[in-house]
Amino acid sequence: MIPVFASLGPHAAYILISYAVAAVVLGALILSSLRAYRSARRRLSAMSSRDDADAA
Amino acid sequence: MFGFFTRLANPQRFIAFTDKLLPALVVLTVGLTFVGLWGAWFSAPPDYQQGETIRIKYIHVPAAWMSMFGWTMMSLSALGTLIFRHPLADVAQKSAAPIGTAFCFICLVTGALWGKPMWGTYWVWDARLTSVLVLFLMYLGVMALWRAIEDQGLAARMVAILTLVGAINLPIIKFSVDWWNSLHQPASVLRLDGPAIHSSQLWPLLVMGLAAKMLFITLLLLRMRTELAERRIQRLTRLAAQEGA
Repeated sequence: MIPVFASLGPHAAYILISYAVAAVVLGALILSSLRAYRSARRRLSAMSSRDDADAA
Repeated sequence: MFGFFTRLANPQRFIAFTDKLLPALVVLTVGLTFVGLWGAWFSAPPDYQQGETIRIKYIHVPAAWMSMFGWTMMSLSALGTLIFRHPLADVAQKSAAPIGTAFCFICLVTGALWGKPMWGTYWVWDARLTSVLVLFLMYLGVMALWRAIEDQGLAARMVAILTLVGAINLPIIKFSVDWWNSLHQPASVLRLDGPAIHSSQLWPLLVMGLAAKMLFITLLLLRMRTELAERRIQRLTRLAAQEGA
C-alpha cells in the first residue's frame, strides 16, 4: 500500500479517497439490491408455500 | 424493437428473459471493470498538466455519464407510463432512481476531490457543478415522492411528470460548459470534432464507462425483479385479507 501511495504524487490522498468513495457507495448499492431481492424472493416463496399448504 | 418491449410487458416473460441475461451481465460487468481499472492504473500515462490526479477521471467521468443516463432512462420510462401505459415502465423508473442517485453522488464527491488539487477549491457555483447538484436533488425528490404517495398508480404518474420536467436539466448539464463561463473543463470526449483525449487515456475511460453502464443495467434488472416480487407480495396479502374478511 505504501509504495502505491508514494508513487501517486502529492495529491495521492485525493485519488485514493475518490476510489474508496466509489467502492463504498457502489458496494452498498450492490449489497442492498441483493439483500432486497433475496428478502422479496424468500417472502414470496413463503407465501406460495402457505397457499399450497392451505389448498392441501 | 417495439414488439420486443411489448412482449416484455408480461412480468413472467420479463423474469424469464432476465433469468438468462443477468448472469451474462454480471460476468461482463466484472470483466470490463477489471480491464478498465487495469488500464486506468497501469496502462494510462499521467497527464502532462494534472499528473497522477488524472486517475480520478476514470471514475468521475463514467459516474457523470451514468447519472445522466439514469435520468434519460427514467424519462423514457416516464413516456412509457404516461403514453404507452406499459406495465413495466414505472417499475423501471422506480428501480433506476436509486442507481442514478448513487452515480450522481459519486460524480459530485469525486469532482470535489479532483477540484481541490486542480482548482484550489472543492466547490464553485458554476453552471456545470450547480446543474449536476440540481440533478442529484431531483433524484432525491423522485425517490421521496415514490415513498410519499401510497397509491402506486398515482405515484407513477406524478413521478413520470416530474421526471419529464426535470429532463430539461440534461442538455443544460451537457452544454453548460459551452453556454457559460465555467471553471469545469469543456467536453473532451463527446465532441463534434471527436475526442480530444489521447488514445492511451481514452480507451480505459471508455472501458470504465462501459463497465459502469453494464453495472447500471445489471442492478436495474435486479431491482425491477425485486419490485415485481414486492408488488406480487402486496397483491397476495390484499387477496388473503379480503378472503379472511
